[in-house]
Amino acid sequence: MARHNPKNLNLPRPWWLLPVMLVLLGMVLAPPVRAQSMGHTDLVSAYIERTDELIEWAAELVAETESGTARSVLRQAKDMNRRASDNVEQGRPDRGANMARRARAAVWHAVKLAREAMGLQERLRVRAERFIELHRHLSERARDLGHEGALDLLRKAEGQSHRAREQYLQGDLRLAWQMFERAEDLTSMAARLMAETGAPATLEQELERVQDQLDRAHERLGDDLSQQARRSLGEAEEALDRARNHLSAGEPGRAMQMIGLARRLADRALDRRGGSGGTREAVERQLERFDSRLVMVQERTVEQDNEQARNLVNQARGHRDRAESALARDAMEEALRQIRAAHNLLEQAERTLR
Amino acid sequence: MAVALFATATAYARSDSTWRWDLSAGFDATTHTYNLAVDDTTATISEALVQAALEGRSARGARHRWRLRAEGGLGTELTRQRVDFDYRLLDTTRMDRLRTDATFTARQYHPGSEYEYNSDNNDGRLEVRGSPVMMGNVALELRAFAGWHDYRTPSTLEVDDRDYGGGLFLRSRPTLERSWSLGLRTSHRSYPDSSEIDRDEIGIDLDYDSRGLAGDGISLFHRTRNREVADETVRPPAWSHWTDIRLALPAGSGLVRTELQSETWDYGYENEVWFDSWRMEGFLGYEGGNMLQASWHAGLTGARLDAGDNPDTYSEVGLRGGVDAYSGVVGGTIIVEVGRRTYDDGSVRTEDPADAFTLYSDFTYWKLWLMGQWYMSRTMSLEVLASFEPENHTEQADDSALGFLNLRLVWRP
Repeated sequence: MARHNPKNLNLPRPWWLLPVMLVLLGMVLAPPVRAQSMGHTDLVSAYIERTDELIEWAAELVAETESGTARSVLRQAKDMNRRASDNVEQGRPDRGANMARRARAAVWHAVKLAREAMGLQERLRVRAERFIELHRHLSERARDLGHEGALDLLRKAEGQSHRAREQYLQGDLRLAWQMFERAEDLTSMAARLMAETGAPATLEQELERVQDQLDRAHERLGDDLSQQARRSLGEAEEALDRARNHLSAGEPGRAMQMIGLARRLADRALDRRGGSGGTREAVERQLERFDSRLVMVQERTVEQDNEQARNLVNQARGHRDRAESALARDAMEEALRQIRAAHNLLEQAERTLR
Repeated sequence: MAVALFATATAYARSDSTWRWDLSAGFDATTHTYNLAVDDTTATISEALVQAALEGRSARGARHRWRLRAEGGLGTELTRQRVDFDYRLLDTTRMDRLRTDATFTARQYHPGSEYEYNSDNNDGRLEVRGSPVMMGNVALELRAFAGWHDYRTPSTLEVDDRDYGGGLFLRSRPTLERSWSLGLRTSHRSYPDSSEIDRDEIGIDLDYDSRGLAGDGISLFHRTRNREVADETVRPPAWSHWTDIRLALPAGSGLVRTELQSETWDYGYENEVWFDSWRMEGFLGYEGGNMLQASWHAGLTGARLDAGDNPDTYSEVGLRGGVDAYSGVVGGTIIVEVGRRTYDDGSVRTEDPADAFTLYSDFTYWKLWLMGQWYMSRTMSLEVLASFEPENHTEQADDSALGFLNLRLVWRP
């Protein structure tokens, strides 16, 4: 394979340029007094001319790539160098020198972008083929499993790859690469999601966890349910039953989808648990309701001289007091648990009195 | 074509197939900031858009499986149409015996579009794979494909192309635990308006995956390609080798993840933009938690580009961490990576010292990546994808930043 000197880009090299450039660089950075000489103008013109040659050389390199950004930068370099030349012709060599220096920097920037773009261009082509293959394989698997969560991620990955292609068509290869990497990330996430939620043991654990969450929601809310909240909890139970059926039928993806739905519905039920809004208000209202129920139950306990009911009422009062102190400590979960237990015991006492 | 695909799909549609549609509205933006000589230049393009899509699928477990998705989008910059169709014929052991994939995309740029290259264009691709012979659990698969890309007004970067090719593969019967394939692939791509860069490619692909349902195991992919160009003085021929290895091992309650990628480019000759290189990239980290609730990962990243004495040779190290949560009302992913790239010698020395320059300067980079969704109701969700990657160079003039944002309000009745 032919090799070139990698540190030596094949630049056009007029023999007279070295001394001219050395002198010119000194002049460009020199004090204004020296810069105003007639020689200075000639040197700036030579610098501009040399930059024109470099622009032509860079244009050939840039043309080999599909980088729109490199083309754009080189166009601006060309424009700046033309303006530098105009400045010199209009008797403003200092401004011309400054503009030419910027044009020269832009040329190197375009060369750098072209080199970077060429690597990205090749990599994008090869990786896009692999991405399509992998995406297709995972989509089929997700559809076979009925895994809507993974399919959702794969749809996003596909959309991202389409946007990456649009950037590629615009010649913005770095942005295309960034978008394409994100599409690959989304595909990997879908694979991980299927792996993690596809394992039956994981799903069974998750079923239990959401069932616990639903039980807690029932416990916390008690009778304090709006019609909407009651409907959400009912739908959550139904979704969980369907998740169990899907899991038994070997459909982990659909089971996962139903579990997620059950969780969201349970959360929604808690958000809509009636007119009161916050947990504190719910506990306070249940305390009031307990106290009013307690008066009636105590009267009947005394009337019937029922020892079992008396014990249950005493236990209920104990839970009620613990609920009140938990409320004072802002321990809402405990307060709800205690007041619910108090109501249950009071209900048992009522049953023994019938 | 869309009508034909639709007709084919509906012919196979059964009463238990599913059809869904969705409607979305949103906003896309891209930004690219770089320094031009002494000034920062920021190229930003933003687009508001609405999109509607219809998707149909065969019933799960059907012998004839198909999927059709047709979508159309109207944006402030572009109008887009896309149709995807695939069909699979499975045998009694659930092995694909025939499959067809077809895609068609069309883009129409609006007058005054911010996009620089704005010729209306369309592209499409059709691929057919058949497995006429089974040898136990291994199928002999034949592949053929053809595609095109046409522009209404071709230009320097808007070039029509045609491609076609085929392949011969051996493929295992896929199971949940393991699958593999090995094959030979060949393709030809032609450019009607610049035939000197027409190319032929031939190569092998190897794919092995033993990652089971628990996510642990190994996946290995290797691809070797040889590319020949019609006029080698215009573009050099090249060999490329790409290997991707991913390993996940159980450790404690999580997984140790290792990813390694190697890319080699070996050109028939080198010049200022085509140069030989070997790139290695990797990640080593730990992943804990459960994606159903919340999971996290953290680890080290590293990369090395070896381009010989070229100024492009660099080393890179970084730290990456992220969290994922998918099943709540609000879910998504946040990933942050920070690292440093150091060039061995980013300068170019020329025979003429006046032309010497520094092509690359070392830099610290950040990669921020957000994907989120908020299920506002059973049918409505708000989705966001965002990425931002700033680079802070030792030469301030080389500073740059790239980013994009996609925001969507999606209705899936």
